[in-house]
Amino acid sequence: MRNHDVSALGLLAALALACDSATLGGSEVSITQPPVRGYVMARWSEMIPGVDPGECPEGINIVEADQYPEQWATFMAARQRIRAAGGYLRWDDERLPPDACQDPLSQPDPGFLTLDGPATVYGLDLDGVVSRRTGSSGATCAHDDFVDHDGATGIDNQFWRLMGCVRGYRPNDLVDRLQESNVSIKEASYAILLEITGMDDAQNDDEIEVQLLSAGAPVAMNAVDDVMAHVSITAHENPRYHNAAARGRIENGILTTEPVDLRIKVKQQTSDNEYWLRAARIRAEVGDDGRIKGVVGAYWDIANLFSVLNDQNIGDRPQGRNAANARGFMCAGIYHAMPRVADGHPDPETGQCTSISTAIVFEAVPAFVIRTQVAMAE
Amino acid sequence: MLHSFWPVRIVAITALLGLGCGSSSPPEAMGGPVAMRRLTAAQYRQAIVDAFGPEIEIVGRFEPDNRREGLIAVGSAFVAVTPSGFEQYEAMGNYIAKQVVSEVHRDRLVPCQPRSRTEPDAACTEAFLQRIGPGLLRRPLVDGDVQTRVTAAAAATELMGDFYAGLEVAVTSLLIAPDFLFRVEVAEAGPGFADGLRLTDISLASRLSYLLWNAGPDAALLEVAARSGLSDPDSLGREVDRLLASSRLEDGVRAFFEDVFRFDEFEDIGKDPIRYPAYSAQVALDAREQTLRVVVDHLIARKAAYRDLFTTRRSFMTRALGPVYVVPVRAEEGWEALDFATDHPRAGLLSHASFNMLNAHSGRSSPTLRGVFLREALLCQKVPPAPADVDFSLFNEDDNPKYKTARDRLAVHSSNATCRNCHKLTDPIGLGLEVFDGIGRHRSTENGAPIDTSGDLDGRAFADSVDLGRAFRDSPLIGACLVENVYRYAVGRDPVKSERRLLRYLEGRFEDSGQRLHALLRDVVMSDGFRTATRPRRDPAVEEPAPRVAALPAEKEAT
Repeated sequence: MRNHDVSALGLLAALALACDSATLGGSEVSITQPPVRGYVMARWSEMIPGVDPGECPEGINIVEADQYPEQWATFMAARQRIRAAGGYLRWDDERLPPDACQDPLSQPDPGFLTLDGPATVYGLDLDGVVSRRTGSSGATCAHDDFVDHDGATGIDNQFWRLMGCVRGYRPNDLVDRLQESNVSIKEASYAILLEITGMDDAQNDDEIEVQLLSAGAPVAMNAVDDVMAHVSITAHENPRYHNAAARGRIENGILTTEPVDLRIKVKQQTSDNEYWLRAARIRAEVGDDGRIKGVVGAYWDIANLFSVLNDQNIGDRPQGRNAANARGFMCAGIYHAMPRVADGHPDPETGQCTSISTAIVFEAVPAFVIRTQVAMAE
Repeated sequence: MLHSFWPVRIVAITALLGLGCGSSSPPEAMGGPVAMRRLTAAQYRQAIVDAFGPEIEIVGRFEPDNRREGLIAVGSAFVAVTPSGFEQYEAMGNYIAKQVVSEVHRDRLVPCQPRSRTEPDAACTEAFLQRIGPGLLRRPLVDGDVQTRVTAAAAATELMGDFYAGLEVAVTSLLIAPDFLFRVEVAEAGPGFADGLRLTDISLASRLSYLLWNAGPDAALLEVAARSGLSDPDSLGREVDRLLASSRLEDGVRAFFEDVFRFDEFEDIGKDPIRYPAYSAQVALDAREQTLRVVVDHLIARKAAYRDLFTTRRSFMTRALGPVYVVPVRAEEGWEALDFATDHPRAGLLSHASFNMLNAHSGRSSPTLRGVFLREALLCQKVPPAPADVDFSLFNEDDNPKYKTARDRLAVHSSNATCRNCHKLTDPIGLGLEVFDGIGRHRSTENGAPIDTSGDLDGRAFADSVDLGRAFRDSPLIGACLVENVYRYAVGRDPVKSERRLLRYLEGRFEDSGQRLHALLRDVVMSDGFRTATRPRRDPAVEEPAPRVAALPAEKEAT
């Protein structure tokens, strides 16, 4: 290696390049903002509200082991023996009552406690009115609206009415802890993607389109166990999960969209299913750091909700009864309770509502949504 | 001080003049002393693949490489095998040998069946040794190579009652042989070499093959060497062209640039996860591979000019690397080509994540480390090491509210006269890369303050990192440094005095070729310096390595 004299060389190089001095200034560089901005969900959770005094004056819901104590005691003793011998006793074993998580009409309705009083929750005013059970509920079935944390009234979140007195959904209990640890994102086999098209100004833009779609792969985690930003994720191969784009706008940094139906692929732990969220709206804040935080308010189809809650399996072994027991409700009870609190999409013939308003709190980080040829054609 | 660097100034002048006058005919140049170079880990692995196929696992730790004057290729002539290292080689060799003679592989690798599974079979053992031995030792076997191993194999077979246990001993013996672990170069007197020696054809074959393929000679090259075919320039030229046209040239070019770019240091890289959550071992692996892919694509596939590596917008990307570059990557697996837009702040090698993460600290970037790397590896300039008692406290305080950017902190640090002289070499160009953080992610601010990436490269001003790449592209030292590095890598040592004129000639030829690597490699291996050697040092007539600061007659003439 030679020991070059830098200053001498510099002088010579400068002399040699003097004729090019007009180009020495260089040019401004910038990263062009893509016409479509992609995001991947870093949080997606049914937010557990705080506790209001007297929310559940009749107590919380019982589980099947409380309703059928002798059969459960017999089953659990047998299960323990069989496990000790290296075997497995299925949750649809005949020692237990019929599995209402698979067939909700196989057991009588044990009753179900719902949260009937006022509460402060997260959500959106989906029906555009402040509804009262004793008064007008607009086009939907009668229900009482909530108040949002920011003071907004008319918040539709009948899902919380349904689950507010379920032990596992109470603050600091199972579901809350699971959501706190963000397993719905970290352990999901398919990430949830969001794309915004036509956003010229992140503060004010009166015409944008927002699309939610499922990915064909999970999120990538970074070195500190957060969802990695700026990853490329391929959209799910099934166009069923490429939902229609919703028209929207941004006003003073708040993004809102018009309603659109959503199907989102869910595969996590014992669940392999999809969300069917109807007339979903988004209200979100586009942050300076490139993140988006907000709420998806929607009507959750009750048949789909029952399936998501209870259709859980390990191979051909049903796990719904086990999951319901852990979370603190009886499948037969919740099945019959759902129509009572349903507030959306009334059946044209019977007037019975078929969906339950809900709110999902989300946070998304920038990502690149990659569409396959099939998806692009779709 | 300037006097001591006088030859370099002449180099620069000749480079600036285009070197056309030196390109017409190759100067006679006698090479330096021959060397005995230990195989690098990559070369060892390739030798096993060539001999036994990729199915054979290699498990164990290699002796650490030794970088000398910027190149492991040079340092490999200055290393031995320690006792513990020998144990490692023996364990690795034994594990390889077990696999080779195992029931899974023996039918494919052993060319004969023994007369008995439990008794020695000298003929079969010899046939097996003749099949694998020349490739491993990189030369035809001599009687001693075969007979000692046949005898050892027979003894082991007798002891173990298993013919293949005997073969295992023979294979292990080959894999710990000095002729396998070291590339032993031999020179001899020959017609037309009154003042020195020529490499034997066998040694030349290895030197040639390791330069171009980073592997030992194949059977065809060994066959030509065995009949002294490489002594004939035409025959040598045909073999060189064959090797240059082979897809295995990529292995050789990769190995060369890994050495020059110091990519072995990736083995020890680590980053603060709090500062750089996007960093992972996979990111580092892909960053290293990305740069090598760009180099191979540019220099071999496209046969483009070396200088344009510093401005090319062409790159390759993986899903793991995408978040570092903040670009979309369609391919779910593997690599895909990418052309950065003309307004994108990435262009050329200097903007690669590999260099910027390698030449940085675990928790912050380092204009100084980057500057040292650019000076030493790409411009072949020596930057003195920092004094032992330097106070880095202010510079390390990268959350100092008063000195928000590295430029601010270095300005204070460099106000110390002891530090100033070195930092003025490194920092102006290193600061040009400050828009890349400690893992090579682009940023425009540091601690909220805008980053100023303007500077100058030896008098050539640049406005930003992309313009710094242009400055490197335009530097007359870029091509000359590559020539010097290729030559030093090829012969495994620093050039001796008589090779200086040869290097000037090679530089001229390289410029005339439009800085095409193929042409440079061919010129190097066809040169006298590559094929010849000086006599041993004990000979009073021996030519010592050139003092770095000595002026050369030829260079004086050039002034």
